[in-house]
Amino acid sequence: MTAASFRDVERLSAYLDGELSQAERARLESRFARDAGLSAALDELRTTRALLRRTPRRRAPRSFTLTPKMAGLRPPQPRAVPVLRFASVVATLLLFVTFAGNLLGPIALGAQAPAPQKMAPAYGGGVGGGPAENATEATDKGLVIEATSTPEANALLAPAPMLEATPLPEARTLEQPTPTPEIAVLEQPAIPPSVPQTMPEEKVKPSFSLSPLQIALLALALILGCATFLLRWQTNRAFAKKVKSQK
Amino acid sequence: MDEPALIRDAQRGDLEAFNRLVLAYQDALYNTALRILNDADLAADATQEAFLSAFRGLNGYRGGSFRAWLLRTVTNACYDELRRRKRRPTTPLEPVNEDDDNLESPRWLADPNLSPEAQLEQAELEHAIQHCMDGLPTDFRAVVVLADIQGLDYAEVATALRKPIGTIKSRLARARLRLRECLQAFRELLPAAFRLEKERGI
Repeated sequence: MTAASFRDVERLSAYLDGELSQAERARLESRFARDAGLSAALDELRTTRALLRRTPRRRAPRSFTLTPKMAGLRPPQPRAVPVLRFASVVATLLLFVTFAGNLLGPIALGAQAPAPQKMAPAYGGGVGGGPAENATEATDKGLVIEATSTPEANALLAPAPMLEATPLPEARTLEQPTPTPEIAVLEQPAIPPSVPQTMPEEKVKPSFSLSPLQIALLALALILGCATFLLRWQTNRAFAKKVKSQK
Repeated sequence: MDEPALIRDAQRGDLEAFNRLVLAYQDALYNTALRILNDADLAADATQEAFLSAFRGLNGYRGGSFRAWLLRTVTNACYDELRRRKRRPTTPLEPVNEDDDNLESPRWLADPNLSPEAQLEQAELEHAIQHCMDGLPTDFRAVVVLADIQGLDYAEVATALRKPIGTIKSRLARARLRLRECLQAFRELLPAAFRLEKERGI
């Protein structure tokens, strides 16, 4: 085998496997008679191949069949599932749109509506506040702030509410005749006289509460989401049972 | 077994049909992985991985030798495994007992039809071949496993390894040449194996 070149070994190897063309095979066979080294090389290769072919075969240590779970098979989902899921997503998106509206609203309208609320504490220190401004855009909150922030007023407010209530609302009677001042006044006795400074902030918060629309959207998104989840869970369970019974 | 029909059904997502193909080919795939990786556990993992990817990619099979197509998935899984191997410890193919005597006829290889001597010779032959295979580069080992152990023809090996037939032919010759030299060292250890071939005159 020493004499055989690699080209020859390649030919001999293919010859063994019957992978040579008719012409190549004839040419190679004609050389065997003259070239003893070539025949010896062929014998060596043949023995090697025979040994390799006798490599013991082992049996697979276990079954490699696939389970539906491994194969990633999913049960066909009811048509309602994508519809419900889509509706749930839309409701959630709308909810966020309303939230964004709440956040952007005050900034956009900054010059108008929120002004009196922000101004209120500043005026609170003074007596009575600027009637002209309050008269035009007063809300019940603005009124409360006005009523509470005067320290002297607090002392008098508890025993005789009507006395205090009357002088201030006079300017606002055009828009809010009687009921609002009374509500504001009725709340007063519950609040200790020492907290007036925090009051304005607490009263401003309710403007971030959920509107009925937002509550409805939130409920809709939750209900649709749960329905989607339940439907899928149910079909998956039914599918698992079916697969089990088939086995 | 009506293989084309089973393949068609499996391609439509029929897992039961596919699993019948798995049972028919799992020994071939497992032995291929075992000889390429030389590790029983990793070979089992590669076989499972191969069948899984075969099922997922079954629509990529467009006729021809299904066996070669399946063996391609397992050789791919083996190449992936070899890339990962450096980071993981391996379990030896030979079960080593306390005396480190790993040539004792192992139970997992025992063929009840063989005499104890023949069983021992089988184990020794396997050890010798695996030892010599380990000395080959992966690309050469894969060719020799597919051609000489699995018995594929050149076209099938070319399909399985996605290489031109010329490359297969050349790699197989080189691998056999190197294995011949390596196995020479076992000639005294395995007289029966070598003698048998001479007598048969294959």
